[in-house]
Amino acid sequence: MINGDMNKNSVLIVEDDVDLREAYVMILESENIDVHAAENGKVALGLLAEKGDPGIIFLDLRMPVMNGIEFLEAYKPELHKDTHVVVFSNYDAKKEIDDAYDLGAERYVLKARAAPKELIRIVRTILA
Amino acid sequence: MIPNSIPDVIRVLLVDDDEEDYLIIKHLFASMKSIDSKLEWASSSDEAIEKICAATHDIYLIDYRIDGRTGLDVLQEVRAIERLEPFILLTGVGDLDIERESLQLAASDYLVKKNLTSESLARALYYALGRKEQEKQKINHLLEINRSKDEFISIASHQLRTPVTTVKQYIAMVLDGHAGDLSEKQQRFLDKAYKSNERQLSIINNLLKVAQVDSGAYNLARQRIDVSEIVKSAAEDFTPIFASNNQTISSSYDIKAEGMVDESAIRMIIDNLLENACKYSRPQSNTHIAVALKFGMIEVSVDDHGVGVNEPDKLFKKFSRIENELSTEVGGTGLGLYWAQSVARLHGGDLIYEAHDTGSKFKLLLPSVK
Repeated sequence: MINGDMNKNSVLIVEDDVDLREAYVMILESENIDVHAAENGKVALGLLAEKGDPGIIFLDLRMPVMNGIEFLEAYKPELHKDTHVVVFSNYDAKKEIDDAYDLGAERYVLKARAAPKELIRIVRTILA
Repeated sequence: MIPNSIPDVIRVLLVDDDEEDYLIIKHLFASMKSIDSKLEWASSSDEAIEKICAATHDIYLIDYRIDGRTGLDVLQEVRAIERLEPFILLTGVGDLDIERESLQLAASDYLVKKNLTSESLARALYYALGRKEQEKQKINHLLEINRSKDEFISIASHQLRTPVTTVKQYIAMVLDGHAGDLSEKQQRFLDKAYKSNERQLSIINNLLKVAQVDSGAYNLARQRIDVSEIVKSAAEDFTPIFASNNQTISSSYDIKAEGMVDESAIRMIIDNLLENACKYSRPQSNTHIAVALKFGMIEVSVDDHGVGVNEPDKLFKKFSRIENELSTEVGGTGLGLYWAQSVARLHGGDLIYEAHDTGSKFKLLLPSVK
């Protein structure tokens, strides 16, 4: 998963749980999708600055160092029109999700509901 | 010892239809040295109930006999048991049965009128107020424990979700062939593991939903919505699910049924009812869902031809699972209906059950708007 620059067909996974992160990467790679991964918001910002914008960011909300909300505040999705931010969290706290929407997230998916097929379907629909 | 939270001036309401008794008690209060008090008089039970409900007194003295009713009736009507102010019952003669009953209705004390002195009355007031104060502290302590329990459930459930989600992903990856071909037996075993894990997830999800409702953290996002539209879309989505069980679903909508409701919450309640109808019905049977306006309420009824409910009293209780011929087969957490009823009530409505000969009928009632 050492990839080159990101483009509108790339997916960035921002997820602190290592097993889950690896699972998502493997699932998407098996579909020949260009996947990049970061373990928190700060690493994600670094990656984005270095490699450019992907088509989709799957963003966990609760993460150490920099959480999803802080990431959105720093990244400002409205300045990156071609990048779709999908909040991918297991914390369905209404306030947090509302905040994420206000900060430019387009969708919220409860991680626990999304089987691999669902993940692939989301990517295919957005990148189509 | 005088508990420090007893007010400087104790506001007392005396409920007694006998003016002479009022004057005697007024005199007793006037001659009390240890207490500053302000006595108000209610001479009928209706006046008393109105004044007690206004909750502007620290303590109530209620005569046992009052205009044809009893002080116990008053205690019952004002729900003395839920009140934080003490109620003291006054009577002409001592009677153990009345005393017992008054205690059951949460009276703090029981005093015989003819034995009253200003000193004994003052002592009774102090003790009653002091005991109520201790009760209040205990209640606050229990509320605090309850709050931290809700919080614990919420944190624990959220934490549990991550590993369970990880298990889901990896089993699904193997099932989807990402780790190579599977034998028929491997496929079958992993299917079972996946389903079991899904069940675990649904228990966690339900625990979280219930914890939110119980802790009062569930905020309704109310909008003016035609409930018929929610029901229509649910019925459509459920048609293939019923079909896959060789069952059918039919629906009817009389009218436009607008209410100020939280769309996703109502949809979840309806989904829950339809899921149950499907789970607890036999093949070839039909479930009917209907929307009607009745007495200013929107009534969504789900009428199935299933196995029915043996113990309707337990239906809406937390974690109660009712045994029937299909219950062990279909699984369930015993939280769905409790949650659904709680949320219906948050809307100012209710969820009720009606038995009928050929199955079950659930009615979701919601206030309508014009």
